[in-house]
Amino acid sequence: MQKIDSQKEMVRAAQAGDLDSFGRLCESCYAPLVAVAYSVLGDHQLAEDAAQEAFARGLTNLRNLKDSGKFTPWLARICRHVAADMARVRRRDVRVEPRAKNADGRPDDEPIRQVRIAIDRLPASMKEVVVLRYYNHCSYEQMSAVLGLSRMTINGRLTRAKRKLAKMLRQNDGMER
Amino acid sequence: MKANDNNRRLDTLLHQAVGGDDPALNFERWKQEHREEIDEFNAQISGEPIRSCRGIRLMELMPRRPAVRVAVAAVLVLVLWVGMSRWGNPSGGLAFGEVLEQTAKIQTFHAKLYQNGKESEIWGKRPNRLRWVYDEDVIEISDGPTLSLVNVPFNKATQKPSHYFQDAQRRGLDVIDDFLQVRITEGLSGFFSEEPVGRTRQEGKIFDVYRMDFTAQEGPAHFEALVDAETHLLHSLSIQVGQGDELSVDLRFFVTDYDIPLSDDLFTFRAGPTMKVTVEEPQPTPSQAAEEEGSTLSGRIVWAHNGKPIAGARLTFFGGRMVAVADGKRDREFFVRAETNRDGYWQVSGAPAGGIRISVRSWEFEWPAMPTFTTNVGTSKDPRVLVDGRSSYTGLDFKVYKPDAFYARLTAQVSNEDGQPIRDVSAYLMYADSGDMHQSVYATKRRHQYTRRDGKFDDSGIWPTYRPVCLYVGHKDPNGPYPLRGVHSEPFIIESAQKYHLDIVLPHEREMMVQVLDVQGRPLEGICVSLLDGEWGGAFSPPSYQLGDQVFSDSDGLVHGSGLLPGESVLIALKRLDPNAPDLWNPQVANLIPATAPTDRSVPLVQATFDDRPIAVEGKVDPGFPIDRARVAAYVTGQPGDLRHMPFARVDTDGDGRFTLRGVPAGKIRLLYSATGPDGTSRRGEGALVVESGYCYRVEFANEDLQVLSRHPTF
Repeated sequence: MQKIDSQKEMVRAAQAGDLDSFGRLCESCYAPLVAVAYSVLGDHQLAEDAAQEAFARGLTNLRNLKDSGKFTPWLARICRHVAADMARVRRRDVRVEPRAKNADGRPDDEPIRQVRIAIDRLPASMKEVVVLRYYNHCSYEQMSAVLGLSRMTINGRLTRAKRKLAKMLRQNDGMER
Repeated sequence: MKANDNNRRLDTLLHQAVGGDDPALNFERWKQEHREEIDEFNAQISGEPIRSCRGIRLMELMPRRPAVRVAVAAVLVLVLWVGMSRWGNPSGGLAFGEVLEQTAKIQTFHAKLYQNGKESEIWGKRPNRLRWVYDEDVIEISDGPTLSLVNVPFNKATQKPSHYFQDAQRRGLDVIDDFLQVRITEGLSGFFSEEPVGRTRQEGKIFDVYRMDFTAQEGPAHFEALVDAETHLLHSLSIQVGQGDELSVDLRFFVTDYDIPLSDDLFTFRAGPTMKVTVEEPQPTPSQAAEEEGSTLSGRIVWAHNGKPIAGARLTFFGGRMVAVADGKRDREFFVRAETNRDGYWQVSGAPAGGIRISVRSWEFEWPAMPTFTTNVGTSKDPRVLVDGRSSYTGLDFKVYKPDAFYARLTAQVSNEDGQPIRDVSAYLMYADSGDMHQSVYATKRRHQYTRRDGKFDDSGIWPTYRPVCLYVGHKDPNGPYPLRGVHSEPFIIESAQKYHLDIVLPHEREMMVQVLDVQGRPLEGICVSLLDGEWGGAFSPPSYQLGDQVFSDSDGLVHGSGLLPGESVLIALKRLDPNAPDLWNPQVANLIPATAPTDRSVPLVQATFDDRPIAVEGKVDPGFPIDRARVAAYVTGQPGDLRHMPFARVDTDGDGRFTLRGVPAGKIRLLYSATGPDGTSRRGEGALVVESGYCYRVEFANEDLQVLSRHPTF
């Protein structure tokens, strides 16, 4: 409760013009937001850009935020839209398959490539919880704060996603039967 | 154990596949890169207008000499005018429907669609070619008249007539126009006449922004479209219905390219050597069969506030008999949909004889679509036209209202004869001509149906009507603190967005003592007495004919009547029934005797003379076909009060159509029959005659006409 209250206070302070409070808020939710963007973009660098752009949009619209307790889900929603816009622009420019390779350009191991393809085929809501969970090991509490969902909902969504992933991988012989 | 192992292995793989560095934000650096946003934020906080990041003040640049000032101002005006002509004025932009029509000038397109988390990709090329790929697993290739549905994982394909092609042909469009103008904007036709709300710059381009927020059945809905301000071609479109993360509809559509070269191979289906291909033949639907003949209906749909046509509005037509359709189900014979064209006109054909219901639907005007034609039966919510299955019916026009310009407001003050407000009174509107209910009326916006202490109704959600309605107001509890009678207001027509106020006085119930006498003036015992006033109901009314509701005169011929409205037009209906085996619909003798209820609170004694000579009507019904079932009913006309809508006596015929009707009161009556044949054919006929006490009348219905053959005394 203390944490939530202090976050609310920081949001109110930021809404009153305290840029340092806004900075602390951004730092605290940066990693989950990058994960949210990564779930849409599939690219670490672009995901960081998207999160930072979301902060910029969030700052200019901060006074429109009515419920200071929902700062993080609100920012996550902005981030999701920014990432979707970026994805659209990127696809328009050139068709690439970034998930097929590592960041350093080496081809992935076959099982990991299969997992990435399977994650890509998940519905957006499921993909988001999987990436949040495994991108930088978010706890259920952190995920709950970012997505604005209950822990039960997140747990259910994650379980269904993993079940679906396992099924897809089995079909591709990526897992033992 | 194996399941656990697999789970652990999946976890490991997911970590490896997804895991990234723990990113950290350098906020100081972020601030340096986002100075403009920070300046804007600071300006918002201080309440100052937003200045450019360099802090240049316009007034500092203004020259001091007046002549130079004028020259600079002229140059600024010129620059502004040139700029505006380049940017265009958003408020004067194209209506969204006109934007969609711009696609007629493109040859190809490539687009992405994200729908409820699923992504698909679409290519289109003139003439009539479309390729739609869902998750790279399912591919639809429409090369014109044929659609090939390819299921990649199962290595199979189905070929069938292309519904994309058929729909486009029906609307007189190419498939790619149909896709971009109708299919992708399904349900948003109410928005087609709207103009842009502003402009935005993205990726170096200027876009007109079309936006709409409204409440759909599933929750709040948001629609936004970006249109290239230069070419007026649709760039993107998004629709979200629902709240927060619980969106029931989440659709985003982006056109990535127009007029790019697309190979014909993209729209050509080629089966692989091992692919299983099924070819489906087209199946005619009942509606298609019905379209070969029948009535043609046509009309137009326009906005009520400006009269502009609504393009692409969806109409549904539903009617005819129930017929067997596929899978053993039954459906209406006629069930078709249509859309309005660019000028708002629509037309359907093939409507069979009978009632056809028409509904107009769209997210934006889910409710307020009002027909402007006079229907035979319908209400404003559910208009219905009666067609003969041969002729054409034109002018079936609809006006679509914005919700705030649609509902009327009705207020009413309910009080008793002493001017005191009455609480706990309910009210509803009913059609004056049929007595059908139109809608309930509420006392408060929180949907309380009963008046509160001040005796008021105030309902701002009243549906307009195009037929006269009247407000019925009645006490919640007939045995409440006052013995009050419910009343109907005078008929009136409710028009959109108008205010109506009614002052309703609920009168105290009146009473009277009725003494039934025979023609010699002696009291008659055991006569059933019903009292009926102009409001269709006293304490005992004939239409119910329930034994429990009937009261019989005592040995002094007396009956106590209550619950009456003050004034004239009170009838006393007297009938003699066999108390042991009563035929409720065929009393032996019935009299209708006018009387007047007191205007004050006295209980007068009213003497009623009962003529016990019976009247009978016997005869035969011949509808022109063998009878499966036929019924004859007598309605009383020309009497005080209103008995026209209630059969006073009725009887079923035998298999040959013969009947004997008893208990008809003396005076003018309307005789009506309805007959049904074994094949469902039905026919009705009616005629009027005047009957006198003590006579039996022989009549015959030949086809639809009544003939009185003879009469003879019943004694």
